[in-house]
Amino acid sequence: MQIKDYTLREGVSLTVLSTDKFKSNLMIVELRCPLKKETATHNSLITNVLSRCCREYPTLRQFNVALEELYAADLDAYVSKIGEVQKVCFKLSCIENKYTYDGADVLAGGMRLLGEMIFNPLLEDGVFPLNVVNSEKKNLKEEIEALKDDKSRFALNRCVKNMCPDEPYSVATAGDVEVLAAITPKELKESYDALIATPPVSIYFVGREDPDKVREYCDKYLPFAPRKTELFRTDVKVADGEVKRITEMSDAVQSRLCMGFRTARSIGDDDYSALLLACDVLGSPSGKLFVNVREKMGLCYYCHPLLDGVKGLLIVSAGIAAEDREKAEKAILKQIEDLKQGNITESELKSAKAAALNAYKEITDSPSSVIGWYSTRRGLGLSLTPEQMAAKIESTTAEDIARAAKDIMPDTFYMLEGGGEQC
Amino acid sequence: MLKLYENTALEEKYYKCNVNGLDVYVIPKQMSTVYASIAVNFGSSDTQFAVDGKNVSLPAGTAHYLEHKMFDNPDGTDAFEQFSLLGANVNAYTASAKTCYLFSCTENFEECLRLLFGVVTKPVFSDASVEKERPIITQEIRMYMDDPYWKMHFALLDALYYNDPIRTDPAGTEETIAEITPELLYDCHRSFYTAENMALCVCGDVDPQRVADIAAECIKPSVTEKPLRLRPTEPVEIRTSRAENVLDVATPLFAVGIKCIPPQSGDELMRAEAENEIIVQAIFGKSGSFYNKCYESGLLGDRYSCGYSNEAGTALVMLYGSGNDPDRVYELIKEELDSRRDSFCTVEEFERAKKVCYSSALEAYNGTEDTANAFLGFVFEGGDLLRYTDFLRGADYDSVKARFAAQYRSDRSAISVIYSKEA
Repeated sequence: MQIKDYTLREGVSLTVLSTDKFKSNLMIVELRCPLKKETATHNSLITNVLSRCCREYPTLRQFNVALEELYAADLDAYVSKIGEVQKVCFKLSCIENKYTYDGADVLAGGMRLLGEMIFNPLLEDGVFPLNVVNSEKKNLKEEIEALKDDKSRFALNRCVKNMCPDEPYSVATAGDVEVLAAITPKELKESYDALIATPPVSIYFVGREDPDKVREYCDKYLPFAPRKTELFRTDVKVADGEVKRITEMSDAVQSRLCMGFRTARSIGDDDYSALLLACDVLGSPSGKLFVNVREKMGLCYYCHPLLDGVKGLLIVSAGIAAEDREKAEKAILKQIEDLKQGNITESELKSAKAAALNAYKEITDSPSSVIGWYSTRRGLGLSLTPEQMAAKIESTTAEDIARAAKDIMPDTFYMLEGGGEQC
Repeated sequence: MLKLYENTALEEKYYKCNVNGLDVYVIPKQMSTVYASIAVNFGSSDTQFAVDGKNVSLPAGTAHYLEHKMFDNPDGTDAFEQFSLLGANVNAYTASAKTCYLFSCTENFEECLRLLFGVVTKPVFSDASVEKERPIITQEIRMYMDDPYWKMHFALLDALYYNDPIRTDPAGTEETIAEITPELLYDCHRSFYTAENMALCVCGDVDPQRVADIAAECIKPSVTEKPLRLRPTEPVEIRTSRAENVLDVATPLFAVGIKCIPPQSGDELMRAEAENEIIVQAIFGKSGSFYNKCYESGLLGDRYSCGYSNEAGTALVMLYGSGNDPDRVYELIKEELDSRRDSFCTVEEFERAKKVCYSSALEAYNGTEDTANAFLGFVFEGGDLLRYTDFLRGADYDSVKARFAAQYRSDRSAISVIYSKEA
């Protein structure tokens, strides 16, 4: 995969990752904003409004017809969160021109629509139309509230919320229903103007098109003005030693246990590979959690660690029977204690390294993973390639892992206790 | 003897051969990740069969239980660890028509493939090992019970079908899995895990001849009698048009299903699938009048999808949505079905729907896993993924229209609703 970088204007970059592996092209335009309660909901609602219609296609149906004519080009706007940064993303995914059966220039058409979506929204009296805003507020409210439909994910969110109550990290990127209710079309337009003008822009492209041609498309359809080049930091806190225990009740049949730890290390640290391997020793398919908590003790079907390497959080989640909470907590803590003591067998080390190396090699096989890799690191001012990370993994020892594990401290143990009847 | 099949327009090809009764397919792809899957033509819908003159009736969840237990090794270890040491991810899943054992890796492909054959060909079950699995699968079942989409889906199938085992959750229930014994698992393995009843599909940068050679080392021609599958007869009519459940969801969720006539195999199956996919897109797709009417009036939001599927001798169309008035949406769907009998979609809409389906079929070639899985979706039915896009492109308006008129009947539809607690 060839990488070509362009600075389109100050604060606006384009990275073209050239490959002919895929039958489609992918472009993601990322606007990076500090994650804040005041702006997160506005940004989230903006993405809903923009992906519904634009000046040229004032209804969802007209917009969708235009996209489907381009072989169902997938044009989307959404928000996501990385550490304490909210990314406002605009995505175009379309099939490679050579696979159309009528010779259509799908990429040029898609790029034009991407530009229309971002820069030429449908306005009425200079603001977003009230009916569109209201209808998208309703949709977004439903989307935010629906987070509770997935109990495992809900428990994870609640754990994080309780763990970092006063940190920006706990702001939900999808938004907050109370903030949402108060947004007016005028305020939303002001937020939109600020969003398009201010935050740094990173554009990524994966596909076959000639990089200079991609640049031409960007110059033509994505006229972002120059802006300040800024990197936003994520605060990596350490645990204060006191473990918060929180239980909330639900009607679920199964209870969800989420044990939150602070890792004290993050992705930019030189020995981050040691932390990553510590998590793999726990969570690889034959890792300590699977072998002991599931297979030996039969306490759960799933038990896995989730590492947020940007924020320095590790959350171990398991679906268990309510009465097994104590047993499960003990068993999970025992695995982490074993790591700290350096009780890592040769085969555990080998498996963890093999899993990590495999994961790095797989990155270039998926357009969105490739973009994810560079987006995460460049957003933090890091320049590591997957190959360089692989080399670091290779040279990490069991002692390095134990050293990193020693800094993993418990913070918040959350349980969504199920009391629901089976039916 | 490897035989080559090609689709030059898609720039895709595969090699096929038969090794000791086993069909082997290799799809070359220049990617780092190799994906391999052994599909066994035995799934959760195979609940009754006759072999050696005796009738066997299986408790719900048997095929899935067997899938879990196939990973045990004779020495008490499990295959997960062996794959882990090689840096591969191994997994398995049980669907209604088949059970698949799979791995992906970026190194050590040949060793992994041998291991995978070991998983499916070397059963070891004991009372203790079967017993050990029960609490784990119990937690798996309980996890699904909390999943509103899962519940809604099976409630819909239960409404549409009188007898077909597709109605039941592949994992079974806590009661049915209590009946599973080592003998039962051995019976199933002996009867169905035979060379003739399995297929291997590998996708990636591998030597097809090596794959065939390894298969020849690992798989023996079967010596057991072929079992006779006993399927209950299923009326074309639906059992009941409505199912409802209450769960802790934010907004009511609903699924509407239309019971279709199951297609024959081979080309007829591919034609039916192509035509049905086009129908669903043209009538219920995102650019169609139905969805947009509902969206504009707030009856449906962004959480909407529609599709056609045929598996294990059943065929149905499903529409998923969320909103506060599921019954109104269902009425509109039935009205749409009735009114479209006289005024089917326009040729323009038809051609657009084709592009949508074509693009989605093309997407399947973007990764080794997706390609192999899409490929295996056809093999037991005598279809051929590489020819599927030809059926889409070649679909004839009048033939599609006739299929719609014959099969899409509002009196063969049902709705399954998940209401929220508060409502």
